[in-house]
Amino acid sequence: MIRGIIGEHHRPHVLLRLQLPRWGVDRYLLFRLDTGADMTVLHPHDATAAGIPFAQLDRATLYPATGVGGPVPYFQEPALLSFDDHDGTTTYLYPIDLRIANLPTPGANQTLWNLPSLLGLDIINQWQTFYDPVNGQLEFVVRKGLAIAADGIATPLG
Amino acid sequence: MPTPPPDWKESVDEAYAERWAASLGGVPAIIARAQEFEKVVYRMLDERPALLLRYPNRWVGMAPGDAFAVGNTLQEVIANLERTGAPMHSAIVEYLDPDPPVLII
Repeated sequence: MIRGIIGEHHRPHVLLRLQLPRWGVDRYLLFRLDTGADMTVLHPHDATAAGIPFAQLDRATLYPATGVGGPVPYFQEPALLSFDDHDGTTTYLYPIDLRIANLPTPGANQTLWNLPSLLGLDIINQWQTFYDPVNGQLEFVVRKGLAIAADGIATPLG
Repeated sequence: MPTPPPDWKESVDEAYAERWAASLGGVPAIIARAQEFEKVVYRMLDERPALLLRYPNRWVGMAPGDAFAVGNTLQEVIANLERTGAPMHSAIVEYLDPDPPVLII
């Protein structure tokens, strides 16, 4: 079972390891759980901290995604997300096409900097979720994904 | 980490996952590193109320080994944290906003 973190203002988060194999990025981050997001997205605050090489991202993949604040251009980048069982015995690996918000240009709307990165339905829909913020409980049972046991043996779930 | 081929999502199978885990030192090492980051996250959560009073409207960063840094910008706090020599792969940086915006995302 993966355990989430209910943080400030009772906002649900999940700890994950983000790797961008093409650029050698390997970083732990906290993503906000968002069932309103179709895809998992990385926003500028975390992207900057993670050292995303924006100048090298493929501009051909830049495509707008629509949110409450209007359309925002996102790059699409191959990424590996991994999550760990709370009992310390299993790691789960997911290959995804990560959406990375383009950095706002100077003078443009800067609200993107306030946004957390979001764990979207591409991952959430592979888990069963127990969300009990009153009791500070957020847990996930993995229904689909690649599970790698402590002995290094991988098993596909689902 | 193994570099993915063009049809990469389909190629991430059991064999790839086992190579991936081995390249990172095995599952126990992967989990130990995640637990290191988790400690940093909880340290930030615990200390955030006091930090908010002391450093309002500034950026703060934490990393394993009790590393801590303050800055006026995101870039500055990252640079200050890097100067501590702490492992940045498990660092966390936050803006201490006394009046955080309501987010609808």
